[in-house]
Amino acid sequence: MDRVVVRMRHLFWVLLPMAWLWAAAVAHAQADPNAACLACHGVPGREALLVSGERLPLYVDGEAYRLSVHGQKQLPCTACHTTITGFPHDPLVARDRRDYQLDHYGVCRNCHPDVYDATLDSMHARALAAGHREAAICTDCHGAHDITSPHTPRQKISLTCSKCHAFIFEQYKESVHGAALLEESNPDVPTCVDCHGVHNIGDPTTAAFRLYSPEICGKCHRDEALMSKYGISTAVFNTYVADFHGTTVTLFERQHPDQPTNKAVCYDCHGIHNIKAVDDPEATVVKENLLQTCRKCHPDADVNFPASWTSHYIPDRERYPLVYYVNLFYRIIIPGTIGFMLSFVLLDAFRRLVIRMRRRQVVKVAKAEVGHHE
Amino acid sequence: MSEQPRQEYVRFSLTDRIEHMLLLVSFTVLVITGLPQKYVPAAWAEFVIGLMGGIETVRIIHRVAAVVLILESIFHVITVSYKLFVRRVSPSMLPTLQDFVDFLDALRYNLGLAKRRPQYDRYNFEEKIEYWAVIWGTAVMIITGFMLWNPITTTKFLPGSWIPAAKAAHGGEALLAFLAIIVWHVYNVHIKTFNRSMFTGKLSREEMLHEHPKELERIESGRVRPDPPREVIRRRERVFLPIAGVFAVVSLLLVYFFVTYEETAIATVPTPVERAAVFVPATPTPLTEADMRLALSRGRAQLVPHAISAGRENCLACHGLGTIAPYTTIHANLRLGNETCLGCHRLAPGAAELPGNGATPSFSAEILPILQRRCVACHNRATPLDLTGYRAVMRGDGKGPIVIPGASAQSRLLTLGGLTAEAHPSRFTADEMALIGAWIDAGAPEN
Repeated sequence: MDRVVVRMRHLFWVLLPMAWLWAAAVAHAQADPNAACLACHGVPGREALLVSGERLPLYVDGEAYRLSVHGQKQLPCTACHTTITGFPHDPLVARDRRDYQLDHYGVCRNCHPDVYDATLDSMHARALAAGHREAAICTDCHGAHDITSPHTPRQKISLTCSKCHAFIFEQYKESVHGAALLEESNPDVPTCVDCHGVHNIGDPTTAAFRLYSPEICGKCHRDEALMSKYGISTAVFNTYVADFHGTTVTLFERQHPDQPTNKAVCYDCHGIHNIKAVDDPEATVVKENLLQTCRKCHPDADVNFPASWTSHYIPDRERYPLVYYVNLFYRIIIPGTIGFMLSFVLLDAFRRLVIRMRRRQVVKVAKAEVGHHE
Repeated sequence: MSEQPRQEYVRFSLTDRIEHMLLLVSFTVLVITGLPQKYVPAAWAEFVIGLMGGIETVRIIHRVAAVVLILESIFHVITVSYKLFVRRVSPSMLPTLQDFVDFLDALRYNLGLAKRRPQYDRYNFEEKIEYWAVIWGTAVMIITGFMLWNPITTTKFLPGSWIPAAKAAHGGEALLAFLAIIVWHVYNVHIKTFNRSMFTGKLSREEMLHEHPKELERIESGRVRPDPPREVIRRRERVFLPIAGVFAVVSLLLVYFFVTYEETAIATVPTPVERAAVFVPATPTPLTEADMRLALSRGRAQLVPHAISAGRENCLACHGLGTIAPYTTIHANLRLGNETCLGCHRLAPGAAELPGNGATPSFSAEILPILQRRCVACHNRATPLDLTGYRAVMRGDGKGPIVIPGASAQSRLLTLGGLTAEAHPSRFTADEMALIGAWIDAGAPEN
């Protein structure tokens, strides 16, 4: 028994350094499986002249690739460049740079089928199918050789969108959400994708999107824990739904989700990408600007009109006292009146019941007496 | 035998019964379409609204029923006035001290403290409570309903907070009326005894004896005031009918105004769709020397057609994002000063000063001539958009105002007829744009 154990110990100490060496050798070989490719493509300045006259850079920054998510997983170049099987490889066939990109981004699906398929129903895919070659494909947002986490730091998300949507980004970055994101990398404010979705970005101009939009705002603005951090009331959603605009929109959304409506949703008053804090002098809903905002839909509105909306406040003694006291009046008068009526009616019914029973008693007794006599 | 008392007594005339039917139908429809609107976040309310074809349909049904109720109320005022002023019947519906005494007696009787129930005349206190509750409730509902139907008109005279207050009162009063009908009306004429007189118009002698013994006694003892002779009625009608006619016409006009006057509170204008330029690739900033040279060499950079002085030192004030003459979208991410703009956009030779600096342009002397030159060939009194005078310009078209005082960038007069409106047949020149813009930003005065 002992001898066997000792022998095995020896064997172990012999095998360990061997295994170590073997592992190191494999690791060395795997450390740069792409060394062969980079021998040519690692030379800065190398480019190919395409049919269109455009130059396609052939240089790949090996270091940037090693730091990328794929590089860290030590994927070989051929994991994506599936058509390259050896050296020398076939010459490149592409009319222009975009042609090359459009031809190749399909390989992403090999490893990421879920997100790839999600994009097939997106606005980008629809634009592409309609012939807009500039519509975003995987690599336009994520990059190709230098792919890193798309959401660290958080502002990277919206900066990515800004590459093509610069006009909207200009508005967004001045907004209360955008400023907080870009200046302090705030973890709570929405980036582009929080409202528009990530891979299956839908059409934000449809009636269905419009009707659904209060739910998008509500995702955060109904969250008590989140809103209390910023001192924002979560009553905004319910007060909206209880009002004329919100009632229509909510019921449409549930009953006829594709019905177009002109009733205001959150962004009609607060703005879309340029939404400002409600106390910002530039806010569309700040008191000085509110009339102009109302007039977008009610052009004949007068100075008193904006106050007919209770500004998401639940009326109390200080804010909208008239509404508060009317409600109070009916909270007293309804139980009072109905209570009076009900007690009078019940008393009356009770008395009638008693009389009827007494009469029956009398009739029974009389009948019994008649029977007795017979 | 011929002296035997009649077995049936007329209680409600045909007009009374028709009125009751109108009230019954309109009230029921109003309750069914109204209460779910009051309780809308509740699942049952949503279900009921869904059954009736959705919220917009429910609102329309509610408004139609409201008009029926209003018309019935006007009719009621006329029929009651006829009875009071022409036939001069006694105002038996007015509450009296006797009603209070009756109420106390009824209470005592119901508590078993009295042996005899109170003896009622034509209308007992239960019926009077019901009648006056309907009068009060209808008045509240019509007034608050008007305010909710015409909030813009209402807020021209009253503070804005009266609208949500009217909404609160409309809902509260509705619930009160509904519950009162369920408790008071249903018990008194359906459960206690099923009183058919509102449909047949008649009560039997037994019913009269039981419910209106005093009235029966008056009828049977001949102490009933007879209807005045026909000539007297005719004479009174000659005064009454014209007055009632005028009242009816005025009331109907008011109802017509009520229903049709305000358009935008209900229909509103179509939602202004903000269509931002979607695909706007970011350009490298700041522009490189090479970019500038390229732009200039290809002649792409437009020449500046006006002098740059007197309040126009900042190009972006007029040509930035969201201004009256915004720069093209390829510059969307530029946040630069004049030097950069002028790097590519050189001054046109002999560029003159833009008009409209300093003083507010005059509408009659400067703006109107531009409109006459560019617009009124198509936009005149015969068309929905009329640009022939100050009032017409300020009124705008079916989609709303075209001039928003103080906000030239949002005024459709400039955005639609402006430099960027490629589809529009006639366009303002840069000078005209600047003048009109200055006038709007100065508050669009009538000067």
